[in-house]
Parts: sequence; structure tokens; C-alpha cells
Amino acid sequence: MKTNKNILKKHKTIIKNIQLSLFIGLCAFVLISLTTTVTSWIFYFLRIWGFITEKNFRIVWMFDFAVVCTILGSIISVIAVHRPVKKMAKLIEAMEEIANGNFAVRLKEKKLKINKITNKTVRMFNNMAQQLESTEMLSHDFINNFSHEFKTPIASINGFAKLLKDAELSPEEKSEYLDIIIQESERLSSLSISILSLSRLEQQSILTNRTEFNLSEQIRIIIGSLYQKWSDKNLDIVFEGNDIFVYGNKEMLGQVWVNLLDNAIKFSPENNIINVCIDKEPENITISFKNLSEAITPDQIDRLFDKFYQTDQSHYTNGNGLGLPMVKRIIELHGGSVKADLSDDSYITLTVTVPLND
Amino acid sequence: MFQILVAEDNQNSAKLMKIILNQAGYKVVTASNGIEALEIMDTKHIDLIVLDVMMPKMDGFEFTRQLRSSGNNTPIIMVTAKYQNEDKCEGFIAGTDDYMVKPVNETELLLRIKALLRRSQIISEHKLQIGGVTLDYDSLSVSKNGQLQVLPQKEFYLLYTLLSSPEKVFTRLQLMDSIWGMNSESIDTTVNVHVNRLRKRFDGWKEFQIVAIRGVGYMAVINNENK
Repeated sequence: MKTNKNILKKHKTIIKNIQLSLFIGLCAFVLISLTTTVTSWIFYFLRIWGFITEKNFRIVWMFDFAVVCTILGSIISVIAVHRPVKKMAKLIEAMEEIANGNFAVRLKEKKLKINKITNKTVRMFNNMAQQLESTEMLSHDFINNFSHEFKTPIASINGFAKLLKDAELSPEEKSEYLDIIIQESERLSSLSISILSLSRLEQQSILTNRTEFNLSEQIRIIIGSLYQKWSDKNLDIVFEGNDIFVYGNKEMLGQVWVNLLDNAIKFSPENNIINVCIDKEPENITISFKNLSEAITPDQIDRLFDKFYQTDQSHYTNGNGLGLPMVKRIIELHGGSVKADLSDDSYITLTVTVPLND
Repeated sequence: MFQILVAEDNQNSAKLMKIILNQAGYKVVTASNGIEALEIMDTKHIDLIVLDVMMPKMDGFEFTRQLRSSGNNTPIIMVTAKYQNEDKCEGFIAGTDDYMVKPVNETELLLRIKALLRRSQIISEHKLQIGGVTLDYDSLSVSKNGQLQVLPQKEFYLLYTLLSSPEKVFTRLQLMDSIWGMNSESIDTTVNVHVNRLRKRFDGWKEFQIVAIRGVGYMAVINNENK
């Protein structure tokens, strides 16, 4: 029984492979038979009706054959080409939609085996549309937010610079306006860098430059490098955890800890403690950053990872709302996740989960 | 007085850099491309180079390569708009000592220049000076007011490392790797033990202090009058 099945399978693959050639062969056969049959019938009728003589039968036959070939050929080619042309027209129409910014358009796949080639094209097209749709940078929302984030500081710089041309300003006013211009320029500068980093991250779908390194040590070094910032607020950073190794992109992960720690330092009130813990579970590594955060509310927690979202405008000058989206993207590229929890006594904990070596 | 070479082709940027450095007490010489910069290195005594990368005729990377291959180890800090990792790598491989991405924070630039100058002095003289205290690398000795102490090797290297980069936090692992070597059999508490010995030895010395950052590492703090 088994050997019979194998032979059948083999036959099936052979048949699949020569399917197209067989098809064309069959078409040629049908076409030639049809042409010959029709020509013969027409010749027969011409003979019966007495149009054929000794002298002209060859010419009549050739003429007959030529006419039948032409007519039949035209009819069949129109029929044969009709469907592919229709499909091509559909594809072109769909591409025009994409060019106009509508990324929701999709083509349908057909079930017949003959459509293998077109189905492949359809699949690739749908894939492309899907990728374009999910590239958020191209979304209208993002573009609107983004231009607003840039226009606002530019408007301030422009406005205050014009005000400074007034000769009757007091020295304090001049100094104040100049400070604002300096602040807003710095903001623009850091915004450009963040946007560039973020867009590079979004374009990446695979993680590159992976190495195995000591994650705990990396975090310790980063805590140490930020010493000035947290000691200025008289904060205490407590790091708990053993040496745990991870296989990932060292530089990107470093950026994650810097962003998370920076936020914790920025939003913690003075004279407090920030807890950083790293723990190894069977399948994951979890790293958490916990600090007191009196200003934040539960509904703000949900929006924390939105681009450009900032919970509190007094920290507006110190950030651009892109730190957490970047963290989220980097961790996603590593196959992990990040979440924020707010406790009843106003402690916010950001937990990063990274899967162990895959 | 230190003399700094600023290699930058943009006139406004060069002007800004010159004013900032002059105000900080440095003498400044400028070059607008790599070839001019090399000529200046040949004719003048330069203590440090602030180098832009994107310059005509010869870019910053090429300048650095040529300078280093001729045996010149003058500290270089690259200040450039090129922010990608590949650029930073290329810079460090070419031989730069530090790398900053434009636009730079002036304060940070000045601090880094200061650190580089200090390090280069330490390297060339093998001596560290903090107020009235001198550490001599070659003889493993610490002297103050004419009084000399010779320290055991590891203790000395530990103190020297911490004091060469004051207010920089070193983790235990970093200290273990650089002083005891990566394949060392010593255990985690070795660094703690040595730090305690140093503290005991220099207890009451006002010039510097070794501070512990819980869970992270150690750093040396130099007291203000001696900075």
C-alpha cells in the first residue's frame, strides 16, 4: 500500500512540473484541430455550392485557411489575454491607490492552480501594502504630531528673536528672551536626533549586531555614569540582582536603561530611592525600575508609550516624549515587552521583559 | 598655557569654537582642512586637537590616521555632525581619543578637553598630582609633604585608577578586570578588601576620598581646593 502511495506522489510531482507545457501543448492541439475542422467544413460547403473549380481550388483553399486562422486566432487570443490583462489592470489600479496614500488596499488570491504566478504577485503586493500601512511614520497622525512638535519651538525662536530687536527692552527681558531661544534651539536639536534614531529603529525589522554580554554589569555602569544627575537630587539608587548574561544588541539595550533611568531620576521627588532589579526566570529576564511618582495618574499610564506624549508640561523642556516609544521599539526588536504599573501608594514601576537566548 | 588646534572648515563654527576655548584659557590655532592641520602639527607645539570630520581636501579620519601612523599621540577629540555608530567606530579605529556629536554642549566639551589633557599629562609623566599629594606610577609611591609611602602593587594601581578619573564610577568588575586581570581567580570581595585597606591607610587625608556607590562600585572624589 505504501509503495503505491509513493509512486502516486511521484507521479503527481512530475505532472505538476510539466503542467504548463502540457497545457500549452493541449491548447496548440485544440487550436490546430479547430482551424483544420472549420477550414474543411467551409471548403466542403463551398464545393457543394459550386464555387470551386479546377483552376481556383488551391487559391480558394489557401484563402479559406488564412481567413479561418485569422478569425479564430483573433477570437482565441482575445479570450486568452482577457483575464491576465484584467488582472494587470486591477494591479495597476491598486498601485495607484498606494501612490495616493491609501495603504489599506488589498488584492484577492484565486484558488485555481493555474493562477500560481499571479497569486504570488498578489501575495507580494499585499505584503508590501501591509508593511506600508504598519509603518507608522507614514501615518497622518504621526506626521501631524511631528510637525507640531517642530513648529512650536521654531515659532518661539522666531517670535522672541523679533522681540529682541526692540531697543527699549530691559536687560532682564533681553536675558529672558535669549534664554528661551537657547532652550528652544536645544529642544529642536535633541528632537531631531531622537526622531532620526526612532525612524531608524522603525525601519528595522530584524535585530542586528547581537553579542552576548553581562546585562547586570551594563546597568551598573550606566547607573554609575548618571551619578551626577541622581546625586544632585540626593537620590539613592539601589541595584539588586546577580550577574545575568543576555544575547542582544548592547548599544540599543544601553539606550533603554539610560532612558528608563533618566525618567526615574527626572520624575522622582528629591531625597528618595529608586529601585533597580534584575531577575532571571526560566524563559525570561526581567528588569524593573521603580520610583515614587506623585504627579502621574492611572489614565496617563496608558498613554505613556505614545509618541510625543509627556505627562507634565513643566518637564517639557527636558524631554521630547520619544524616550519611552524608543524603549518600547528596541525591546520589541529583542522579542520582549515593556509595561508600566502604578501602585496605590504612587510608586511607578517600569518592567522590561526580555526572552532568554533564542 | 595649553595650545589647541581647531580643525574645522565652517567659518562660524570655527569662530565659535575659538571664542569658547579662549574664554576657557586656552590658546587657539585654526586649520580649515586636514592638510593645513598636518602642516600646523609639523611647525607648532600643539597640546590637543579639536577635529571636525567633514572637511575638504583631507577629512578628519584621514588626518587622524596619518598623524597616528607618524607616531604622534597628541590627544584628539572629534567634534562632528556624523552620529552613526559606523562613523564613531571609524573615528576610534583611526585613533581619536574622544568623539562628540554636533551640536555640542560647550560645558561638556570643555570638561572632556580638560580630562583628555589631564590624562595625557599623566600618561607622559607617569605621575598624578592632587594638591600636595603626588602618586608616582613607576615607583608605586605616594608622597605628601616630603613623606613617601610605597604601596603594594594592587593597592597602588587601584588608587591610581580611581584618582586618574575623579568622580567617575568604576564597577567592581571593571576594577577587577583592569587591575587583577580577567582570568584572575580572586573573588568578588577582593576589591572591597583593597578599598578598605586604602581607606585605612589614607584615613584623615583631606585631599581625596574614596566613595562607595551601593550595589554599583567605587569612585574617588577630589576635594575642592585641590581641583
